[in-house]
Amino acid sequence: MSGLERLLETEPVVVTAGVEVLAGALEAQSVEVRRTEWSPPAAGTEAALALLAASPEVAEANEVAIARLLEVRPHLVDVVPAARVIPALTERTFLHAGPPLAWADASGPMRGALMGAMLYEGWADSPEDAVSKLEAGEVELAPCHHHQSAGPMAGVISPSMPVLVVQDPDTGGVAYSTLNEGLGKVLRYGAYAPEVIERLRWMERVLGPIVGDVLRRRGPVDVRSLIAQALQMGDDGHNRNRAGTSLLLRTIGAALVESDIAPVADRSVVYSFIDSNDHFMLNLVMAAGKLIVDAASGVEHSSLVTTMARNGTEFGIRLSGTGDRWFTAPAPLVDGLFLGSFTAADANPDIGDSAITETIGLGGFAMAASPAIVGFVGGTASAAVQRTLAMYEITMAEHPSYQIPILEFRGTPTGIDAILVARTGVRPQINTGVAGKVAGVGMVGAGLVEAPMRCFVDAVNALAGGVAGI
Amino acid sequence: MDSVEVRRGTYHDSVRLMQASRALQQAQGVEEALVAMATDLNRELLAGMGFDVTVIGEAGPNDLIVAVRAADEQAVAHARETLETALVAKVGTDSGMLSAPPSHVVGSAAPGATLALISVPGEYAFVEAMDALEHGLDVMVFSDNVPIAQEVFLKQAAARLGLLVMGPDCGTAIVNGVGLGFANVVDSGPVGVVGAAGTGIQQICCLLDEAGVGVRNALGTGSHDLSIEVGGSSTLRGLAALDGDPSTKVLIVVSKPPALEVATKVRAAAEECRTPTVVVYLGEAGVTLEGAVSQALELLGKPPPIYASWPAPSDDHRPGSLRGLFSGGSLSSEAARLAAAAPGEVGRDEKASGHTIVDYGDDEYTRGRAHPMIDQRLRLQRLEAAGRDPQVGVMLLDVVLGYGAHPDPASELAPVISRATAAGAAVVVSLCGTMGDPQDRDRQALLLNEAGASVWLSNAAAAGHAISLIKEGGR
Amino acid sequence: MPVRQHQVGRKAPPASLPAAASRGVRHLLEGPRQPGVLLGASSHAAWLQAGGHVLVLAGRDAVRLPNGVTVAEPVDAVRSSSGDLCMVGDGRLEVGNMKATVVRWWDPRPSLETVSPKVVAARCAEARPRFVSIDEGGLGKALISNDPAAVRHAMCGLLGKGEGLTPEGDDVLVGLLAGLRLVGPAVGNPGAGGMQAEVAPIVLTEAPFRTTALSAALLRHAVAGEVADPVAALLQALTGRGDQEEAVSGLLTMGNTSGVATARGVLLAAEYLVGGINNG
Repeated sequence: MSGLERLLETEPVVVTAGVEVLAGALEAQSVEVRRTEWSPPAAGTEAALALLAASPEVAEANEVAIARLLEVRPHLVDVVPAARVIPALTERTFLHAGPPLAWADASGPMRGALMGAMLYEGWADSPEDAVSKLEAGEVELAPCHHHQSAGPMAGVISPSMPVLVVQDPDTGGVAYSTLNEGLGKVLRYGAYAPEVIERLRWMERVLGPIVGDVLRRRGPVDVRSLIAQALQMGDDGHNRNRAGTSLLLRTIGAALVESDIAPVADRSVVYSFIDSNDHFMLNLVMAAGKLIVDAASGVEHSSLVTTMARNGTEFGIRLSGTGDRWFTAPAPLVDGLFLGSFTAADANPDIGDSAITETIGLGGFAMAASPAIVGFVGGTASAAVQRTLAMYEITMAEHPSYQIPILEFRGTPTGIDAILVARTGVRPQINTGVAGKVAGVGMVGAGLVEAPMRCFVDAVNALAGGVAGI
Repeated sequence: MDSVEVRRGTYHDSVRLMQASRALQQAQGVEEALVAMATDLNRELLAGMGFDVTVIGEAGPNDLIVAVRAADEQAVAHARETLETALVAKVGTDSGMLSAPPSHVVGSAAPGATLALISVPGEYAFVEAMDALEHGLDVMVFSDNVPIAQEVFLKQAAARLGLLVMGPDCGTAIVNGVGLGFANVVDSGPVGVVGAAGTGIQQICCLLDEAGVGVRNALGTGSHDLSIEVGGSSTLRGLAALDGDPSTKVLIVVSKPPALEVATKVRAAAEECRTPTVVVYLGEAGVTLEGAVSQALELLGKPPPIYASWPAPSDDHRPGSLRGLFSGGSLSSEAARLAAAAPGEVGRDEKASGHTIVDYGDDEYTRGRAHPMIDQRLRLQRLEAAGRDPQVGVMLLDVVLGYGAHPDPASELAPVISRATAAGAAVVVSLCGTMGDPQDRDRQALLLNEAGASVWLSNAAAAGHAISLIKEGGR
Repeated sequence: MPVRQHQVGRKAPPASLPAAASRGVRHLLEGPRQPGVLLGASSHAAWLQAGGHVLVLAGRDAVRLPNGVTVAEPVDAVRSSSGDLCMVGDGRLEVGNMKATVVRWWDPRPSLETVSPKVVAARCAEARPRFVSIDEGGLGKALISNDPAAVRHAMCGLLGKGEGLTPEGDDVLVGLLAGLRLVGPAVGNPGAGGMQAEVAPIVLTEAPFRTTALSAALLRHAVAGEVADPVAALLQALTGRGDQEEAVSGLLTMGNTSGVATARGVLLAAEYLVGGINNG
């Protein structure tokens, strides 16, 4: 329609933003009105948002970035010692969850995990020794995110730990994550007692090699397909992974039986270990997530959020279009249900790379597929659905494979747009576990947390710095 | 006692807040009250009212301030309750588990829509308008104070996309028979209007309606469209589109006088039109809105009517100057130009002495206040003062009806007018409205007339009458 | 109507829904209040008969008809039963629990561009293949013969032929009559060569006896050039204005075969007027 025919000749359907009086006047004329509940964007972003709105390169970049995000088909191919595939770990280095962090700023669980890693690697004789060496800066600390990996909770990766290897057959890209230890007293919650170290050693000597052999035997596992199925079985991919874990076990079952690099007794323990850990799948989802977000990174001018991660002290995000820059804010406290007699007073600020699941359309962005999760994080099933629905407004796409049955198989809201977050005031919703603030206490609860707006304010302003504008 | 409360992350639009402030002020025991978003402007306002603004701290445009000065604690508490009722009146929403949550930006509500009507504060309008265009919607930007560079960008984008931007600072439009913003109820018909002047468009539509002729499309272009920078982008495109519309038989283009080169461009385009086009630049000698309507009627082969008026019981009035108090910019411009015929200078500033014609819709008077077409308080005060002022002989005001405007302006104005006429002033009302307007125009006219004013449907006629009263002098 | 009637202070009172309505039924809705009867209702529309006219009350998703009244949601109305009384007039419509006040009118008669017959012929040729499936009962042949008697005969054969509220035969007639009325002037043939005047009266006289009340009403509107929105869009497209593809899709999805049948009639009229009916 060239000559404004639609404007002049069709019955208008009007979107209103601003004063209610004008919307009411339209309804009084029997006109269909779609009201917005508009409010000013996040304070401090107004000039940046105007610049970005005037820059066509942003939309073009986003098209490229989101397409890359949605195309990746991660496959689990192997388990190997971390140092074999992550070069940084051959120097005296530990990786950790979240944005860059100094020992001095680390919270309880993070410190405990780093101490435990020191003991596990044999770089310290005792917890006190570990502390003094870490204080002295004898070990480099680097974010997992800087090294193609992601870790839940404290997310500490040390050289000897076995890591899942996830690969993209189309590009050859790779990403890694540790194997999930289970619940209770575990390294990722900051425990470093002898039994924790023992378990880590067992994982290094038994679990890792067996699972590695199984995968090499069986051939690559299509992770995207597992996740899609798990979502339709009530998982959310972040806090609820029972279905995914079960599907994974089914998928490697035959090869596990056939594997002959270790005695039957060991394989049996491996089976039971995975079977008893409802969160085993989480680390695989995270590794897949890392592969996916890395593919979508580095697209100049794109406002796609490629990283959301917390180190127990700070919450950090990164955008595809602003390179490696982190935009951080104090890590928030989680609002949710506490286990046993734990209360909010026992909680550590938000921690872990697991918010990577929300950056790929899972977790809080798929809660509507997982209403049972409210038993874990609190709230009502209705609210769970509503929270997911709210996320559609701040994302660029609906996932072609991850579908939500109750929404008539609508794809999950995927690809957070930092610009939309700043404009709408709607913050990304994350389902997460809560760590005890005292190292080693373990999980004290689970709940919902919203990414801090300040990260998005800074990110949007940085992005605007790179465009020509009007 | 004073109470200042900040509610973070609670936003309401400016008109709702005005209404809430008003409700609070009328609550028992309340001396002063202001409910407003914590913008810099509002902080100043509050400080000016004597409230302690340090409490507001870091609060910003997304945070609400409730400031109350009342007799005692009880009165403050009662005021707060009144406030809750005033603010809670939200439009009903369907709230099932699967119902879509509300949209917060134009883009989210765009699928299935055809047009966006944006009335957010000016500094945010550009982003919403671009969002609308990118989602394939035509846009009307009611907001003012939008930087001209942004307007230029918007209109270039719209031209590329085959869409139209009406505005910024566009208060009135009719598209396919639907009124947007401040608009009068008129039938669809053979006349098309393109205008950079809101009440100019309204007056044209009202007079045409009175002559039995309808307007199907009146495209507002925003007050800056005919500036050099914008170059008449929306005017020219609107003109071409209406020219190509088979149901439009006559076109009227109306605005305040544009920059010369733009004025020429528009006249040239008008001449190229297949449809007969009347171009009026208000402010040029001999040009009136009524005159433009007459030209259009002639082109349709209809004789222009004598527009109704309700004469005042008596034309006697005390001697004195002309005090014009307008809510419509174009109506005040037209009156001011006609008033040049009156003896003595006519000032446009309310502080001027001698004859004045003031546009209370101007930015100067609408800071921290709703437009006078919605909220009459400032004008009522000024009218009251003028009525009492022995230097004032004749008062001239416009009353604009239609959607968006005050639901019953005459009932608020009548008492003030009564007092003024009783004190000897002559009051002349230019009533811009149609029979179909929700306020019931003829009833409004009657109320105003019974209060002692002469009432005219034509603004030019009203101004003319006021001027002749001045010329005759008073007794 | 010699004097344009105004509704004073058009505003729907609180308990009343604001409605938009077609000018084709304005005289009925703005006239004196009179009783009528609910002919029937479906899940999304209600048909009312009053003062010898038929109105269709529907929501915004429904196709706008030349005798339509549109409200946001006519649910209460459609919950009423056939035979229920309704009240129409004085700007209002009441049926069952529902009260509606008309606040806005739309024009069901499209204004068409004046164009050369060649343009129309070309557009018809593009559109034709989509609509050939409809049986036009020999109307095409009759039009080629240019014999009013033959045309009348063919039209009567189509009148009331088919199932449903608006039988397919009637839809073709609606398209034909509206096409003759509107495309004629557009190609410089205002009386459509006299054909419209020759054939319309018999249809209007016979219709009330041979078909449904609603269909008869739509035929009356068609003679006056008042049509449903998708039909108006096709007429615009045939005279070179607006997107033909969109107009065609709009008709393909209108009713079961209503849109397609109506389009067939429109094309027959247009082809007749530009002197090129292709039969077959």
